[in-house]
Amino acid sequence: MQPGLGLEMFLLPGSTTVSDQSFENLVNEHGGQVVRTAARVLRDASLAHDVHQEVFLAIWRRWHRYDGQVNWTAYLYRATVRKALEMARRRIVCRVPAGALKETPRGVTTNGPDAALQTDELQQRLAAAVARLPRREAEAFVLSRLERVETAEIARIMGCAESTVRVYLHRAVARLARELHEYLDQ
Amino acid sequence: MSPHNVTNEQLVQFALGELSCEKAGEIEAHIRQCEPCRQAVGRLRSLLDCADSMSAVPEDEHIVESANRKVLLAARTENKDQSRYRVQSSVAHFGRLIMGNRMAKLAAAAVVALAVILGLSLFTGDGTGKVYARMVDQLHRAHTLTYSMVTMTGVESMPTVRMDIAYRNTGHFRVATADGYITVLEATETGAKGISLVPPTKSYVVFEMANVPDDPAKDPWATVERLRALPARADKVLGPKEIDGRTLDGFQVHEDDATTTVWIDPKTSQLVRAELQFAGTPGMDVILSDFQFDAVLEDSFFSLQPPEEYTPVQVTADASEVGERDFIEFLRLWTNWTADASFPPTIGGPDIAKIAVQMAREGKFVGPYAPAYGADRQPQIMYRGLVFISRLPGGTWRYAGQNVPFGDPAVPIFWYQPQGSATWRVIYADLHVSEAKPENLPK
Repeated sequence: MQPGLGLEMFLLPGSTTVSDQSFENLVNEHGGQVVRTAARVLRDASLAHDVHQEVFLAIWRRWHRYDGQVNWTAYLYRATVRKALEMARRRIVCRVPAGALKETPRGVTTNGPDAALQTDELQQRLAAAVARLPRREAEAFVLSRLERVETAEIARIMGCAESTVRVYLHRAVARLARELHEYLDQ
Repeated sequence: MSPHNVTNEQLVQFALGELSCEKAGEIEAHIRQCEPCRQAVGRLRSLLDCADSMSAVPEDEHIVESANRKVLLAARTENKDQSRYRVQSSVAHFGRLIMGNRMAKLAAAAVVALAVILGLSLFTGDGTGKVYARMVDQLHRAHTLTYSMVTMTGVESMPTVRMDIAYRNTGHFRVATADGYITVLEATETGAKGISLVPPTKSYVVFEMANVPDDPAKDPWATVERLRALPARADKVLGPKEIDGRTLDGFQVHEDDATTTVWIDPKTSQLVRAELQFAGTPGMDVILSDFQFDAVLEDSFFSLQPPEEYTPVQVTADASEVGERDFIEFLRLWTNWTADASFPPTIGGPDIAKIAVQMAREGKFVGPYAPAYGADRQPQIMYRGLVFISRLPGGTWRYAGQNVPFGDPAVPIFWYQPQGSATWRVIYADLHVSEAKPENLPK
């Protein structure tokens, strides 16, 4: 005879827990932020979608280690920007043959008939150039210029002093201007 | 770019608007006369304008929604590797429930169930081996066995559960908590019948289980005997230690995900204490102690009569009318409950409770209850479904729903022969039912 019990067995809650619920809330609350940030860096909705999946699954795999003190907005900014930049770098390596950028016609004007096309082209080049920046500089640039996050908040997100954020940002801007020199001349 | 008293860095700061008015005025004055610097600032501004234009991305709620849904699904299916976290947080969940919301009573019962289930895991595994064979007879000469089982939760906010467990070799089993939750079981010819008392609501549940297989390895006596025989296969011997004023020898064995330590009194060779730790549930330890053999246990101790002021829980009131429809409802509920919409791996016997707990640990359910069922309906439906099965005589039914997902009208998952009927009823994976002659039954 086995002491199998009666009804009370089924009073035992099943698999989903309070923590699962809070993970679900996190995803629902911040999913949009993650997709938009990734889309700004990658300029591609389906890649942004992939970043979203990777970022949240990585969080889920470590879910038991978070202690309820996490500033999720900041955490997700950092994780998303990193993941998106990483993906952008991979994309450069995988998809764009070396030298391809130099062979395309140069010159950008803002009021020609192809202005929109050219703006788009410049955006593509800028996105690619950001991905080639040193990692911290790229993060500072994305958070400051694409995400429009205040410097003090960027410092918190990146875990460094505000003055350091500014240094990264200045270097990034200088480097990008140098690299995109010929496309930025009016 | 600016080989004079204006640095490139300053131009960047100027373009970013970071300079003080005074300094910005100086730069402005400078670039009016310096063509290279004017161009450099122009390029910086184009760069920043371009970045600005990139910060506007179209809102696509559809993509966000689909991404959210997909990641939650993926998280669920990944749960197999997360059992450690799962159980931990389940324990925390109980703790939170207990800390006083309207579910407290229910949760208290759930804690008891959890503890009993962990206790049940003692009763699995085979009881073979020489020591077992030699000792089990001797043990069976004892007429009663009592011990206490303390389950630590590992969660600060959640109480430790202590249960007193008693067996009598007349086929009686009783488990009681300090706050009065009592379950008594009495062996019947084919299974067991029993009663559970729920003190906070002064209610009781009477239940009967037929066709419970007689499995000697799961005999409670065998379990205790396995613990007593553990020193022979210990992979670690712990030095003498004083526990409650007695000097005891410790022996430890690691098996699968459990570490069992027994403490034996060297003078009497008696088992005094057993400690179980489960790798999957850190901090949740089970301690068995106060073993007593042959204590006198009166019949009244195992009474199946509820106390006078207790009322039966509604669920049993109409259990006699349980039918095929209830069983189908049970199956439907289960497929709503499982993440992959599959039917239960088994439906026979009390094993299903244990399997449900295991599945919960592995994250195979979408929630604590199936969506749209909830705490009030789900236990009733499950209970009635299982009552239906327990009443079918052996050999008159067959279940084939293991690993089958809900939906295919061509896949039979269950067939049975109603009493007195010449034909069989076949339930398919979309839960439609048809009649079949015995020779046309699924293979």
